[in-house]
Amino acid sequence: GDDGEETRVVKKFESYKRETALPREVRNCKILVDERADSIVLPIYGMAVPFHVSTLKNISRNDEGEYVYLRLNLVSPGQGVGKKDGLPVEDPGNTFVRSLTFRSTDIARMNEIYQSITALKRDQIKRETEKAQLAD
Amino acid sequence: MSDSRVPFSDIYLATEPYVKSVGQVRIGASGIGWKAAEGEAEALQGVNIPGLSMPAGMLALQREDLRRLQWQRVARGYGLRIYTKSGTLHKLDGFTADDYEQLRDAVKRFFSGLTLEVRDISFKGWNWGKTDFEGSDMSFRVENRPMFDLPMAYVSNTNLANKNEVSIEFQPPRTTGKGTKRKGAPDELVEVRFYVPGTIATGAAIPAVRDDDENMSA
Repeated sequence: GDDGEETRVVKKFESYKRETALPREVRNCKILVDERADSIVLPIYGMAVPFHVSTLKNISRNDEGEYVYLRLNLVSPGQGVGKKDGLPVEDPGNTFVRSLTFRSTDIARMNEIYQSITALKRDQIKRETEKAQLAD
Repeated sequence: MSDSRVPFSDIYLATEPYVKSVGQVRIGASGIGWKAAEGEAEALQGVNIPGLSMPAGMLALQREDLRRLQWQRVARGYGLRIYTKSGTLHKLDGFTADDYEQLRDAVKRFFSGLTLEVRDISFKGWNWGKTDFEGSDMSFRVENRPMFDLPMAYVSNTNLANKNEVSIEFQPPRTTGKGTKRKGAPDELVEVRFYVPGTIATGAAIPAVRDDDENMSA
């Protein structure tokens, strides 16, 4: 029957089903791109914190003195016009992580991470586009 | 009796972030101790951790001062979080999954009234949830499970960028210890920005809510 409630399709994605699935290399406490899990694992005060590529909006890189800064901008409400359909909103009271900035003196590795994350995002968008075209 | 102590090796003293020093943890009736391994105390030079005595690099937490013990997944394996009555949250990282039972049993045996709680972390990879304070840590939770913690002690600046955006800047502690190797240094978090829903702006900012309302009134 028509109960007037439109069930909003929330895109379900999950980086890791269990803690034992985290890659071993997270113990280095460095940014890690895990292509198999479509995720970026970030070192945040001793914890290995995954963000699924679907939550990533874009990434920027900035050199300042001896440091390279990587800023991950994540999908959150109130950004830009339209394109809000991809936003998984279940509870309007939710807080969103909007961006995270890391720094390192290892320029070569940070450049590599920048490239890997860019590629991961590009592949995800490509897959989404193909899926959407098939659905039409 | 030293014989009745339960030892764990290759454990990092992680109370202070970005300091890399491994040692051995011992649990006994008198409390929890950590001692830096050979040559590992150097990295702790100038580091201010309550209960840590230098130059030996020895952390002694007395039984009477223990308030709460938690076990959780961390980057370097598994970690023991020790809340003391004097108000410090100590972290010992580097346990293996197999250490859990031994640790839980040691806690039960030596510290009556305390249990080793399991802190279930979210690994879903979502960036939406709720923030909550646990002591001086701000913890970001997804479906009521912590995803990461931000210790307020390292916040250098906060800013309300606009009515829905809060930025928190961190000043990573200067790692001047001799044991600090630049090449192996961890990546440092310097800023986090949150979208925080406002009580008035919520409906307008999130189209899902508005759509539902329209459907309901139709």
